[in-house]
Amino acid sequence: MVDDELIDIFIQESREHLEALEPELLEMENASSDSESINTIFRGVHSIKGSSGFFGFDQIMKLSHVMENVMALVREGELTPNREMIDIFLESTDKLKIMVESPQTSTEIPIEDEVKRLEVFLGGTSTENAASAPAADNQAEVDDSGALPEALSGFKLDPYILKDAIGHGHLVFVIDLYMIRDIKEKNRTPYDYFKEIESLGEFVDAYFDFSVITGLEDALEAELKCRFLFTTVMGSPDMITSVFDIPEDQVHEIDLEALKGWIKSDPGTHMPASRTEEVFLEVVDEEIEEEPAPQAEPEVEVEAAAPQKEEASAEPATAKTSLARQKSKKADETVRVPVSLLNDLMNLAGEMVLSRNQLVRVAEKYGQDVNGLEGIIQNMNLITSDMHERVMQTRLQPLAIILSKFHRIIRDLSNKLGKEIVLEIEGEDVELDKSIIEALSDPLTHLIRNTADHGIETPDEREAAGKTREGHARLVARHVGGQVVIDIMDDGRGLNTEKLKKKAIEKGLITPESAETMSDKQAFGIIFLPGFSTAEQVSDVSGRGVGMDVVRTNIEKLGGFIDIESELGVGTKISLKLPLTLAIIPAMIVGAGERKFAVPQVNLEEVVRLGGKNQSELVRGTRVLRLRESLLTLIDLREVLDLEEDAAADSEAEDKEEDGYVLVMNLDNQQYGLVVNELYDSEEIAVKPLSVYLKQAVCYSGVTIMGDGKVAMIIDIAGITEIANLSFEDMNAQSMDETDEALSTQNEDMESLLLFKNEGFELFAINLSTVARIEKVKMSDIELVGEKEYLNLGGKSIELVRMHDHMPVATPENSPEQLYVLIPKLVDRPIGIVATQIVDTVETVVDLDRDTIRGTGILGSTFISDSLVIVVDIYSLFESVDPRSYKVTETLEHFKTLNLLLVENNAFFRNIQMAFLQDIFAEVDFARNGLDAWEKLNDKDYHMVITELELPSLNGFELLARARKSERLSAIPFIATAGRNEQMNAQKSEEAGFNQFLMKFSKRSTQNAIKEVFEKNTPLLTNTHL
Amino acid sequence: MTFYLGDDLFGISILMVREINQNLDITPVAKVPEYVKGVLNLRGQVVTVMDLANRLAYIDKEENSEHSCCIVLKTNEEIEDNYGSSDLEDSTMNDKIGLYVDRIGDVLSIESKDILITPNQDSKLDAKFVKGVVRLQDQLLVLLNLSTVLDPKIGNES
Repeated sequence: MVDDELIDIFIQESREHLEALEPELLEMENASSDSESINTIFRGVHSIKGSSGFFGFDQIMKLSHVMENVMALVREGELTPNREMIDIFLESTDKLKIMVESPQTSTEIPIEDEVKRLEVFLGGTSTENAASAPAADNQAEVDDSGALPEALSGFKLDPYILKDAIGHGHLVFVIDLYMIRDIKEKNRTPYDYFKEIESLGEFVDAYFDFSVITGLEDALEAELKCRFLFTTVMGSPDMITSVFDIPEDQVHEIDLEALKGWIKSDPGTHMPASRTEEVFLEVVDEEIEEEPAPQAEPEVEVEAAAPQKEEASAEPATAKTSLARQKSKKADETVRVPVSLLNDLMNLAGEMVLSRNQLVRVAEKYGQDVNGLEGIIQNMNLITSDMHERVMQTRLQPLAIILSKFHRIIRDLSNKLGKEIVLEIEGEDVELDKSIIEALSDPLTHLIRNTADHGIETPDEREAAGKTREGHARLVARHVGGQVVIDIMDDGRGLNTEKLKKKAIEKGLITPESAETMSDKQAFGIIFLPGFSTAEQVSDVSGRGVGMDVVRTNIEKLGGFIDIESELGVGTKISLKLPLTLAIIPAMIVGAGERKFAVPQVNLEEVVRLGGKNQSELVRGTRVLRLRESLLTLIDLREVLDLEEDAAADSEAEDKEEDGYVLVMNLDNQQYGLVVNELYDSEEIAVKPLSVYLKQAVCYSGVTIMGDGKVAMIIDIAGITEIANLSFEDMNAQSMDETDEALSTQNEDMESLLLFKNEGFELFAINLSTVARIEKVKMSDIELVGEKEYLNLGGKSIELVRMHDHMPVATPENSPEQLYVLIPKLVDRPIGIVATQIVDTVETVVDLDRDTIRGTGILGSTFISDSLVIVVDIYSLFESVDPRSYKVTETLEHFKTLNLLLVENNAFFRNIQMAFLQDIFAEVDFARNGLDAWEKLNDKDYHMVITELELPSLNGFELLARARKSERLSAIPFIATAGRNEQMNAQKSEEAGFNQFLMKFSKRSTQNAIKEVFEKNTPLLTNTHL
Repeated sequence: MTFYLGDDLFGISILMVREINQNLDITPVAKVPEYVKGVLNLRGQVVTVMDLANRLAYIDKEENSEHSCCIVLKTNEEIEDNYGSSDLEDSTMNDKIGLYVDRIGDVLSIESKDILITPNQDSKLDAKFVKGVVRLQDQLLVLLNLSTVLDPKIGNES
């Protein structure tokens, strides 16, 4: 009867109970005694006790029994759970776990210590007998009790259960089950009966009555019987007979009064001498040989469970009161399947998908020829996809499986180490393939232990360091870019790099020389060296010096990556990056060159089609795309992967690029665009691991098989950026060498232009840096004063200008209701420019044509995206609008012999200023950047320098500082200009020793400044020329 | 198990071979060592295909002839499952690997006494990839040392 299958079920069930127990115990510690968790614990140990008793695993039963008794007192409110008690409960649970795994050898495991410590909670008298060895309690004691009903002899009696049951109004029954009649012929096992009893009431004990067997000869024929003692709420023997389907004479009701008397007289547990475990098991073995056990395969088991449930619910009263009924039936909802079977299933499912795809392809050709074929294939198509998906899912498991035990580990460790540690876990629902989950368990446990042991300080140390007494550890798991990242963070003492280095040198792991040059990051890496342990005192928790290098090896074996960040006294963060191997991720299938790739959708934010308005531009050697208000660095997949065979055909490549797509990716909060030339489909792909050869390329995170059966590489976003950055650096380095001049000129001439229309077809451009803001206004908001229009803006009136009133441009026939007003900055008195339509902003190099289109307010014309654009000269426009404020009344004649150097990197400003300054000075030269200016200053004599503060290569401040140090140049007056941050720059430039600070765009103030500077600083010079 | 690269005959232990595949729909992969020809879909499994000629720095080979095929090797795990942790004297990889060869030869039984430990006379080949040479009736058979051929840490420069 006690067949391996049954014991397997026992092991599985007990395991589940024990697993359910632990979190409840921890829960109980936190939130003081929640009755539900107490019940769960009680039911768990009770059930283990019951079934172990049934199988005769006495050690398991003994321990679970004592646990149950203690828990019963807690449930009654006679005991309050405290830390000590939960400790011992947890330890006992661990012991049970060990024993349950191999119940047959469970007797070899010592449990005396746990039992003794548990009994302390039970207090004096009640427990002595339970503690003593079973053999010591013998038949004589039962006989002594006298009052015990005859039917109960041979049973091991538990006064607690009996008392509890009687107290709840239970009746006590003994039933006899005959092996052949009730078990063999009904095709049931004693365990079935046991389960049934559990569902109706409380199982107390059971034994086989071997008295009928006199020798081996009659063992086969003898009516072996199994006696069960149990308590139930069912009120009469005939109910029992009907439930168990046994004749009435096999049911014996026990006289409660007699039992009560016995409980009072001797509440010890009685173990009849005739029933030692050895005998029990021996005879059981014999039993199996004698009559083959009824088929007890899992299916049978499940089938049996179902009707039993119905039976039980037919007795509503029973169901409600019985504790055993409440036992969750989880076991019925899951089926245990060997992983190898799942692997096979998955491979088969994969192959089926491929066959399906082939079938679909054939059906496309011949489908019309066969009636109904298309429908069938379509159906099969769906089913196959569905099945495939489900099969894949069977292998995925949430991280919770391994993470949940960490609460316990941290708790035990904090006790042991005298620390107070709070562990927070996030991302338990992140799913990973089973194989990874399993392989991750040990390394993670080690890391958590390390954190508790080495990372977090003792409460006293923490307090001394001004931290809270309790240390915090956080474990966060999340998906990042097709990978799973697990961070383990603490706010502990951090890694001491000096200590690490010292130790490593002592141990001969590194040389003192290499320690000198080590970066912090490299120093952290020391802990991964084999044979290194940092704890000054090696504890049994961690620090055997085998740990971290094993952790790293294991993580790397999984295709993962481990990284440490730490700050001394602040904390440590260890990040594990793991591939999703075999996990399923949604991905976008894209084409680059002739090949297809899968891009994980986790990082994908949007897709933009290149071409038309979305043109990529070249900024400082990097291709970018203007996407709304931000610039997006573009990375061309073909370039990165060297897929472009003929890279030399640059213009051609550019053409191609413009009809591609940009995948806007987000990586660690940084956006960039991945350029591909084809966009296919989004598919759920199964990530397969890379072989060692393929891992050498950092740009792939895995490989997958697409729906059409083709293999596609999965792009590793982080890897791609890495490669791209490298190649960009190469490119930059190259250009510095070869085409420095040309390229930098081009780059620095880049301007941001705002394109707008003034109703007509003409396209106008204005430098974006001169626009303070753009207001959207209605015609009705504009007030007319005299002939001039004004707009009330934040309490201030601003004069408006219609470009056609002053400039030689088309006059719109009627003004629309909706208008835009461009408010310029960097001017003395802002005048709003009216526009009817804002077209776009572009970043471009303006090739200004000053001759073709000329007139007031026009700087020149240029072509942007093949359209003619009129570049507006705000300066001359305003001059025309408001001569009083803007027109320069006085002309400076007396500087006509002097030379000026204008340093300005912005072509737009340069153009405007040059024209005007040329009227004042004899010669005006310009420099595009600080270095250029410095060279020019050394080559030629200048009498004044006007420089922008923010310059490439050498900024205005640096240029001034250099000049002031030079004997020849120190006396030259410098005027600073700035396009923004006027207040700050004015102050800074004064401090730096500039003679004057100017805002751009004001002719009049520029003129005044020049005059003032000359008069004040070099009176000699000016006097000479006056 | 023998096969040809160009006109020369090579051999590996048949126990290492999982199957021979004529499906050469190999997807090339960028940014990987040159001797990696690409990846192949073998009924739902991804096989990395090594261009053996390239790996052996063996110039004398035919270009994708109609006889070209892929010898798919067993993984170490499969070998262990089949033969136990045996003393097969050679090993493959934990990944699924295929060898791209020009032509498949016969399966021959070789007595170990017939295997000559290579004198370094065949200068075309790097000695570390060679396990031994067998003199057949009409030509030489070069037995490859798969564990070194497959080891990505070993370069193919002579």
